[in-house]
Amino acid sequence: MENRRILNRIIFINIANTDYASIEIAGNTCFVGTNNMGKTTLQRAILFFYSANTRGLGISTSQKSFEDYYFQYPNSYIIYEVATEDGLFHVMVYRNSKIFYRFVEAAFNKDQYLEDNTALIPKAVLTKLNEQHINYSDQVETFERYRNIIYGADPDKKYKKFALMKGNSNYHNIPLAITSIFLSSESVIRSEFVKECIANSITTKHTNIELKTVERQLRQFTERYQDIETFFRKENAQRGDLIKDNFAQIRNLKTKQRSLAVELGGALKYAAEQKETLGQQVGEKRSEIEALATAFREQEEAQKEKNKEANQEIGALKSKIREADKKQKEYEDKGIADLLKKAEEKTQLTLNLQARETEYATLTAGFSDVEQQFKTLFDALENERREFENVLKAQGLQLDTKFQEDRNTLRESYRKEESELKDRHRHETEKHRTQLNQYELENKDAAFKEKEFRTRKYFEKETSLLKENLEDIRRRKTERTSAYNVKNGQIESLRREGDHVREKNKITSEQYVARNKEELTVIEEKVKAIEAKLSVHQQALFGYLQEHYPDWYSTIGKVVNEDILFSKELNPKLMKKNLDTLYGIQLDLTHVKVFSKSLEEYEQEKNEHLERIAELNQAFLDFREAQANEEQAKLASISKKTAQLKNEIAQLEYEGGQDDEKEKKYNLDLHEWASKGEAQREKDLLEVYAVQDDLKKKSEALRQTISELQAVLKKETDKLDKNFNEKLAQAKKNFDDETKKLHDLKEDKLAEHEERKGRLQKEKSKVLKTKGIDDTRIKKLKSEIDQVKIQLNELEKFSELINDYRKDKRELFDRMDDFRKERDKLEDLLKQSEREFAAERQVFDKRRQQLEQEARQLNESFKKYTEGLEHFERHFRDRALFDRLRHIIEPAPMEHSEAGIVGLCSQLLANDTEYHNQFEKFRGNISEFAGRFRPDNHLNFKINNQAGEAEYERFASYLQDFYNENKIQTSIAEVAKSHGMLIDAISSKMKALIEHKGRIDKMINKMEADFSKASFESSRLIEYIKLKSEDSENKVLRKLQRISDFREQNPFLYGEANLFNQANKAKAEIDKKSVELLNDLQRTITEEKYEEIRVQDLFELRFRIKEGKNDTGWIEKIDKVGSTGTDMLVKAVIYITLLNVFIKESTEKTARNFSVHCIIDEVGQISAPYLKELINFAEERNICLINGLPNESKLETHYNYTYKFRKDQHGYVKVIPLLTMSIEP
Amino acid sequence: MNVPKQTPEIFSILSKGNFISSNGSKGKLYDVITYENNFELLKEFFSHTGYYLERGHNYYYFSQQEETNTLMEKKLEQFAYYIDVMDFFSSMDTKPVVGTRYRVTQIAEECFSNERLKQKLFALSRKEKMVDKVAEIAGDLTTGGFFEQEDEDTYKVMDAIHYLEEVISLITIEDDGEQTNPQ
Repeated sequence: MENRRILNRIIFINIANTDYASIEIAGNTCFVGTNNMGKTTLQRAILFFYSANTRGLGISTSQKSFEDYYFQYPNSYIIYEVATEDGLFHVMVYRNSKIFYRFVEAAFNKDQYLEDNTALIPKAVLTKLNEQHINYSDQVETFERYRNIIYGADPDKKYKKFALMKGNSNYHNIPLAITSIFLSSESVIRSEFVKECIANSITTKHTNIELKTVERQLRQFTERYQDIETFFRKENAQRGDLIKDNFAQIRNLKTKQRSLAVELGGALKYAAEQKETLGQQVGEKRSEIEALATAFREQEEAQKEKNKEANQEIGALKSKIREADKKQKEYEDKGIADLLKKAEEKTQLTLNLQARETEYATLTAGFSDVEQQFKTLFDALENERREFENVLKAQGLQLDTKFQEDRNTLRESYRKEESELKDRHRHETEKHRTQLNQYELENKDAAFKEKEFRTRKYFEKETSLLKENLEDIRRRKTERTSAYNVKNGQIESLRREGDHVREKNKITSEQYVARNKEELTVIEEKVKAIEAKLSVHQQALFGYLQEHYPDWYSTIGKVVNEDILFSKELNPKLMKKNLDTLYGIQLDLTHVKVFSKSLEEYEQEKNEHLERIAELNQAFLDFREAQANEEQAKLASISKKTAQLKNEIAQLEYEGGQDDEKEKKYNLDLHEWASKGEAQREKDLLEVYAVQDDLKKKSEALRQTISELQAVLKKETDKLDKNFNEKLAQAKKNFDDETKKLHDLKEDKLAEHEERKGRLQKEKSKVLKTKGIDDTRIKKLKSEIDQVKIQLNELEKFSELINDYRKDKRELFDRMDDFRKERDKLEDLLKQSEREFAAERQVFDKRRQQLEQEARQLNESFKKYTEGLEHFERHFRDRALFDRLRHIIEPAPMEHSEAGIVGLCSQLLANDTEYHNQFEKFRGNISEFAGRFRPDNHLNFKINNQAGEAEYERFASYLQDFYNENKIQTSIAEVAKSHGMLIDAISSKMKALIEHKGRIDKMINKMEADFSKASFESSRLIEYIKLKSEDSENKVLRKLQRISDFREQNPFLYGEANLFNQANKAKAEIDKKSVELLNDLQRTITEEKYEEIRVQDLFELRFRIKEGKNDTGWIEKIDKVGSTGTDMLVKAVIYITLLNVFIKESTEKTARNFSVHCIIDEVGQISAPYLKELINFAEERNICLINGLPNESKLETHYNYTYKFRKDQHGYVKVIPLLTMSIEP
Repeated sequence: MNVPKQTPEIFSILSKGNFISSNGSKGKLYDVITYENNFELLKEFFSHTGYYLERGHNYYYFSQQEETNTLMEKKLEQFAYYIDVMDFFSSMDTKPVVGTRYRVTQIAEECFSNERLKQKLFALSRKEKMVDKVAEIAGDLTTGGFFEQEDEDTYKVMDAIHYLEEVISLITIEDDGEQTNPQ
């Protein structure tokens, strides 16, 4: 039975190309076999026992994996049998999809695994074990667990019995060292390797500083820092302001554009409707004018028709008058007056003729009876006289009748004319009076109008609209003022709230820092105290006890205080061992607590303190970040609200400005309308005055006309009277004349008659006297008769003419006056009618003018709207602007616009041009602003310049929010935190790393001490192997160190929440320096291309070997020490020394009762004596060598076990033991 | 004279005919020159080397008082080319405003869809592929210091582009004389 724990045997069942092999290896073992025989397979399996890591076995990636190569079957097993002080147990390794372990509390028994030379599956094996009442563990499923069990680090006590050794937390170095030795097939031993081993022996991978991570964090930090720095650049701040201004302008322009678009939409609809209505109205007006014109034309026709008759009549009358005149002239030319006179004498002549013929007949009848004769003559004369008197009477009667008739005719004619005149006058006067009345009415109307004009409110609709608007503006102004005050008040209270938050946070922060600092100081003091203790412990009683009195904790540790333990002045000496007395007094210390602490406990306590410091630092950073974030969140919310309010105020101010402008415009408009109204009133009044004047004049004229007419009437009446009187007088005179003439004629005739009677009396007397005949008388009579007859003939000849004349006279000449009067009357009537028609024409003209005026006005409006619509169609609809605004224009409600469509279109176009100009500037400013930042800056100032206008507006909006919410503070806080954390992390990691430095030195010392024992005293082959450590040359490490030192120098100053605060110059300098240090580190990391900083980077290791006369000097790598054999030997010695040191470091400091294997392949070139020395060297250190040899030689005699590898007829590898006895040393 | 420690770096950039723009990767150097009275200091300092430090809108460059005719001709030729390149970029949807980032592939795409742009590009580069053509002219502007390459595909317009704009704005097109023929 072994008195130590050792891997006793390894058994292969169906492993790789081995069906079964059992190899005992509880000592130095040598495998002999040609290549590809399975030596390495076996050695790897042994290594797998120690490392339990399928990846660290030197299997290249091109080869089959460990699992697939070794465990090809479900009944493949590797069995490790371990010998202990109490007996044997074995570890069963099998594969069930992955590799599992079971610990079996018994020596390996082939029968438990094989039946009829066939391996059983694990289940069957367990059944067998159960049958045999052999205890076995649960299935161990992880390599880690297995390693913990094997190296005695598993907390489960039931596994304690399966431990190979009592390893501490660093036991990992043992498998690592064994693996490293096995894997370092290269012939060069680099100091790096040793450094790595040292590092591994004293630390875990967790202490390494992952430079990739650090670099990434640094890069992130640097980039973010740079982003913030860029943000604070003067150019960017200015650009930001410009963008803000541009954005505000653009938004205003857009708002204006929208309102204009709405107005245009409304105006278009209004215009379309107006166009239709006005078109209709214009049409109606036109029709009305047309109808009026037609009616008037008809009236005119009727008038013409009516006048035509009168004209015809007048024409007829005129022709009659002309004919009469002509005839009169003809008659006069023919001497009608004489003829008439003569005709008047015809009766006289006829009577005369009869009288003369009677006289003649009497004279010629015989002269018989003179008496008779004369009687007859007298009778005849009497008859003649009576006849004549009768004629005269008749003529007188006729005259009288004629006179009476003439007088009556005259009187009638006078009366008729007078009545006609009066009628005509009345008619005319009536007409004028009517006209005058009309004018008076019109005058009254004008007076009313004047009054109305004087009181009328002109453009009432427009002015009231403007007044409404102004009232609205005034109302809005008041509302705005109060809103402005409220908002300013809110801003003020928000500002105070912000100040309060900042103040509160400042106080909280100060309190926290003070608390934190206090606690840190206390802990640091404690750490310092522990470090002080630890630094002196080796020279103090504590160190002495550690070295010379292993169990001092349970005895001295209970009665000695720390001051004594760490006192260097006690000079302890061990007088007598195992004497349990205190100055000779025995104490029962069973119930006394151990007072002192072990080195590990001190270390642990220190680590706890350091962890606490790290925690406090982290807590500080966390607190600061949380506080900054919280403050930022609160301030952001306040800023957001403030910005919102400021925006609202800006909006109010903008609206105010707009309203002011509108107010001015409206006031101007109002003033203009008022002026226009006054002008219109004046114009209207002037018109009315003109009308009134006109009416007055007309009335006056009419009155004048009427009075004139009356005068004319009077005059004409007078004329008529006069005419009548004259005519009457004339008639009277004519009558009188005729009467007188008749009277005269009668007198004459009577006188002649009396004369003739006298003459006849005388003749009778004479005849009676003479009785004779006188022919002279007859002849005279005859001549008188002839003359009368001639005269009568002549009269007869002209009688037709006279008759005609009389007829004409009767029909024409006597009616000339009538004709003339008739003509004048007709002409007057015509004139009257024309005058009446002229009045109507005037009315018609006036009405037509009015209608035309209205039509013109309507047409103007119609034209205005049509032109507007046409302008829109021609100059606006096809533009891209319309397409952009279509969604606003089309649904806008109908509304009248003062500006008009053309005005609105041009305003919109001007607005658009302005917008584009502004937007160009805006885009340029944003490009320049965003261009200053990295493309993927963390502040998210990114612009996709292909994304269009919305993208730029999004950017500006984001930027505004960014400024408003002061988001940069969040970034600053984050950067400050990452800065602090980076420095803290680097510092603490560096501390953790550097902490190992002491242990490294100790380790190196131990190694050197061990090397000194490796001088192979018997052969003096190696004079010495020396090791020394130097300061690291790693540049990254130096930079890390500088940062750590900086952290130490500036424990609290290095990072307030703001790295960009330039107010405190000293702090700004520190911040700047810390940032520079970090930048420097990042640059170095990038340049040096290290992936991590490990413990081994803390120092440089140098070897110095003297073999025979070869002295290598201080070298970094051991390449060739001497011959190949020597070289190998030296390296093996170094490896074994290293393993020994690691084992010492990794196991409990108790008696060492275990052995491990050191697997070194291909040792064929070492000479037998040296090999022997090597084996001894290893054995002294409880290390068994497992070596491989290609061929059999005498070397194998030095081993406890030698196996030869060969293949049987089935191709299975068989491991044949050659020597099984232990050789004597 | 206490010149900034970055003076050699500044000199090495500017003496090659390059610019230092405020928005480029050498923005720190721009800040150094702008800092307090460094500009006057450096102007004086560099004047001894025959170079005159000049200040543009957010950029710096060197000028020389006396230049040989050959050098002048070369510069003029270069400028003629730059003018065409500027014309090309100005014809794009995204104008070459300071800070604008152009992606070669994006420009090439725009050229594919815009015949006028395509023709301009063809007149500027003889490379076969559209992308290569764009990369060539962008590269030329980068060499001139007017662009800066940010990654394989992205170029950023530098503040120094103002220099080109200013020079172009100084060009006056005179009458060719044929029209003016006073008897």
